[in-house]
Amino acid sequence: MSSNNERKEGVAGFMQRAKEQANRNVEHFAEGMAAGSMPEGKLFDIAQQISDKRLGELTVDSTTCGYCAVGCRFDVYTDGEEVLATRAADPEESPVNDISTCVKGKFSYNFANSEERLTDPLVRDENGEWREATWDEALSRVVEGFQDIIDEYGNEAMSVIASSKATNEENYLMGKFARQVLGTNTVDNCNRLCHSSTVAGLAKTYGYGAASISVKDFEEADLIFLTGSNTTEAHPVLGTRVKQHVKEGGDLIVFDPRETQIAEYADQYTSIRPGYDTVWVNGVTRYIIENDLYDEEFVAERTEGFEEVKEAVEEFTLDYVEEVTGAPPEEIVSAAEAIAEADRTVFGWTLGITEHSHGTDNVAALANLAAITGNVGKPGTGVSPFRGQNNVQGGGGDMGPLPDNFPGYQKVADDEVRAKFEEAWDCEIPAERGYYTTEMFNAFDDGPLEGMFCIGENPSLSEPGKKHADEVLEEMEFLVVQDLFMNETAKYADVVLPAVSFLEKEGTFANTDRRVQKVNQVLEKKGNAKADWEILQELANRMGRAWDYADTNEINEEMRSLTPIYGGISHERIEEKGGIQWPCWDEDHPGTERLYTEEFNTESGKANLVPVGYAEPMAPQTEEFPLTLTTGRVLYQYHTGTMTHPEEGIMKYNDRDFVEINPGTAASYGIENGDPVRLESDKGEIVVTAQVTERIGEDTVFAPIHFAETAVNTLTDSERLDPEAKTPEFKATAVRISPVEGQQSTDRPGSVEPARGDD
Amino acid sequence: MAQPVREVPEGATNTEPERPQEGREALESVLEEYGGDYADAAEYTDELENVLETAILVISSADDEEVDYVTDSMVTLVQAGDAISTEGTVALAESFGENAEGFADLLDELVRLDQEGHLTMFLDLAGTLAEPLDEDDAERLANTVGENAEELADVLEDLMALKQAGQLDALLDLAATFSSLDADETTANALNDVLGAVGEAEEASEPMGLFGALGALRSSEARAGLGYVVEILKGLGRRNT
Repeated sequence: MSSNNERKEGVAGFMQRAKEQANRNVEHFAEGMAAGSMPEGKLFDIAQQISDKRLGELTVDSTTCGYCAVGCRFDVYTDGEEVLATRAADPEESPVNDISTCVKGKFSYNFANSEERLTDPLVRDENGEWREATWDEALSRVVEGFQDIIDEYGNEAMSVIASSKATNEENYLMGKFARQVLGTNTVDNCNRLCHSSTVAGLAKTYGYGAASISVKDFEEADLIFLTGSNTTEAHPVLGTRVKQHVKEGGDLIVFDPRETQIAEYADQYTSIRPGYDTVWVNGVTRYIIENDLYDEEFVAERTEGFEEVKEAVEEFTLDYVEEVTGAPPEEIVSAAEAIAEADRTVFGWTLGITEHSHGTDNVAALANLAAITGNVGKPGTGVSPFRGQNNVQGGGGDMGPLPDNFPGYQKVADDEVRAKFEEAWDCEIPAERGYYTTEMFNAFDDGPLEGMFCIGENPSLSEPGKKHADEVLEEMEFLVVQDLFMNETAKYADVVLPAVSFLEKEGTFANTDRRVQKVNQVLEKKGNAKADWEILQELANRMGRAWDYADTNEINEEMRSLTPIYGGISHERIEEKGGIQWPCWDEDHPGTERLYTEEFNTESGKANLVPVGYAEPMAPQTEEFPLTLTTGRVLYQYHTGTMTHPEEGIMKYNDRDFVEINPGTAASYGIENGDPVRLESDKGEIVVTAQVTERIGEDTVFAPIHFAETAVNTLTDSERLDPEAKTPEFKATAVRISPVEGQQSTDRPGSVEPARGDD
Repeated sequence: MAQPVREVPEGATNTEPERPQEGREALESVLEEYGGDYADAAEYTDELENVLETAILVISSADDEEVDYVTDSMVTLVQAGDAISTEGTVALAESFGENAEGFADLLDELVRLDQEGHLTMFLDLAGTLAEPLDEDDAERLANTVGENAEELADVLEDLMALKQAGQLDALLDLAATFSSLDADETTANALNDVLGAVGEAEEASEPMGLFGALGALRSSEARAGLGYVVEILKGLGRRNT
């Protein structure tokens, strides 16, 4: 940060601001004078010099985007107080986004200076109201609260929700804090709500729970096969890559319950019913095997379990697939033949595949398909789950704030690994895994959990079954929330600690293709708020530990000494190389652009093909609830809206949730575009505005997740979970709809221009 | 276990305190409340803030270091103005000649204002405002504003008259010409004051009281005119030394 941007206080501050204002006025007037008296060439010279001077007064630092996990890099122009502009960094330094940024990455930074930002800690007064507190008082209360829980109920009564918005270094400390300071393995994060089934599905088939490819593989592929992904809205810059692939003659196939914008670019779009993905994927696999279209050499040399898969897919005939999923036989055939004919296919997916009660099976079925067609480990081939939160790959997974994993996916259950961390952290660590996030909320009901430390997450809105989540939060014996805002979860807390955003701190993020990139501080910290790592360090030391990190580099050094896949990923090397993809074993290792080029990360070195059978939603359609609700995101918003709702421009495009209904379905219920509609499931009801569109199938409706006023998770269920990954079934909930009498229609159903949602 | 509470004390958020209503009462009440720290008070009233901004600009002309701050971004333009003056001395002379009458009128007006003590009073006020204040100073400030309200209004109205006589534009035209003149510092300072205040009169199409007039100082052109001439003259001063 430039010292020129240092803001003065009091009288000096006023004079500073007054002079800045005067300076602007002087320039403005003088420019007018000059325009009237100088030749144009001279004016251009002067304009250029003034422009250079003005830019010279700004701070320009490159950093990594804090919205989705595509991992765009850009230069941020600031005056130290607010973000004035962003511009894609030098393409060599931004291999993922090249020259692109999306609408959020470009414009949505008002949240950093929002009046709602918390600048000081909050504690409850004697009446239960919030009162401003010093850090000393607030941290004392936190320590006392945590200690009381531990003393009364034991360490296993504490839980931590880590933040995938935070840096890798901070997430490393969140895991360490849970295990070393609180003595519990119950630490998890938002990955549980999105791609944990990807991690589970890919880990058991290929070995690493992550994308096998780099972004450039999209360019080298002949065919991109997308499913359950509204790429242009949820991962806009990746969407640009896919569109570029099509423009340059590449093929694109999309299977999705909604005809999303990316489907408009596809050579083939196939509409499917949500919740039956193993059926159509196995149908494609079966057709390929039946017709000897698979890669026999690859299957023989690099896979195990082919015969079991062949047997498992036997029942998924074309007719059966059509009956269950609605996918026409000829489209299953054409998709299968396109994959077989293409030399190089990339398989991409997002939450439309994972957020199911059988998400792990869905992922395994796709992994089987990619492997039997030989589409792994070669340029232009592989699997790419597009991760959601900016650092859910790194902070949410790699850094191991997880109930069953240490950093680098090292297993808690492994005695040798556990002993390594016990020695490094000077503590005892239970061998049994802790609770996953979705399990935590159920374990508060009749389980051992009594206290929670929730960092940079908003489970009141993001957990399945909002009513249940709110009840748990309210009944919790001791809750500490660490966040930028008084969000829906924080209002239940006993203590709220003000944290800072990614713009106000330093560290690293890992993006969706395992690329670890630098995050640099571009703004001053807001008020008395602190970085997550600073708060954790103070708490740890008040609870008897002696953490002494001067900066995030020191945290990174400790982390990588314990985490083989990050062994060579130092801050210094990241700065030099502009990003390093794990695994990167040591400082001589260049990082790994593409996984599985020689062997899979399994015991045998071969892909474990996993037989996958029929699966359906846990709450399929019934006579009472005849439609299936699928939830998702829109381009202009981000998750529960804490970062995007403060942005006036963004809100002009999308200021409320809505429900997409097929015109035929809408007509049968007497619903017109813009009408208020009641959405009901067996868990609750909400009222949102109808957006009547042919984008969605007749027996499916879609609603976004971004607004507390119409929290769509009121309708979902906290107990319908994937058996392995415990991911909730956000993508298939049986509902019914009805028009709401007596409320006025609006001509702005959800946005100024047609808003779309993802997955 | 805690009941859900969303309301947060403002002191713990990034919220600016609510501004009171503008006007004399607001100014006085804020001065009373924040007498010991005028900078805080300045945050609360546009009126005071505008006076302060103008005062600071004036005072900045007396302090090379501070002037440099404002001047830095202007160097190019001032240099360009210089280029005009060296390349077109004849033209400048003509320009001055064409505007000489207006300039003379302005100087006359300036002398009159000065003789009546208005300029001194205004500068005193400005000087007071721009200095770091202790509690006594703050009290003096409040008194000055209160006791001299009528005189302030008078001087501002006088300055408005200059604008209405069409002399502002003439003065602005002269700005470039000044760079080739040997203006003494007294004249320069006096002109700065006049020009800043004259600029205010741009919006004086209807009668205004003190607070309205002070509010008009928000006009960017008023301050710009002042600042520009300050820079030209400071540039001139540097060349002369």
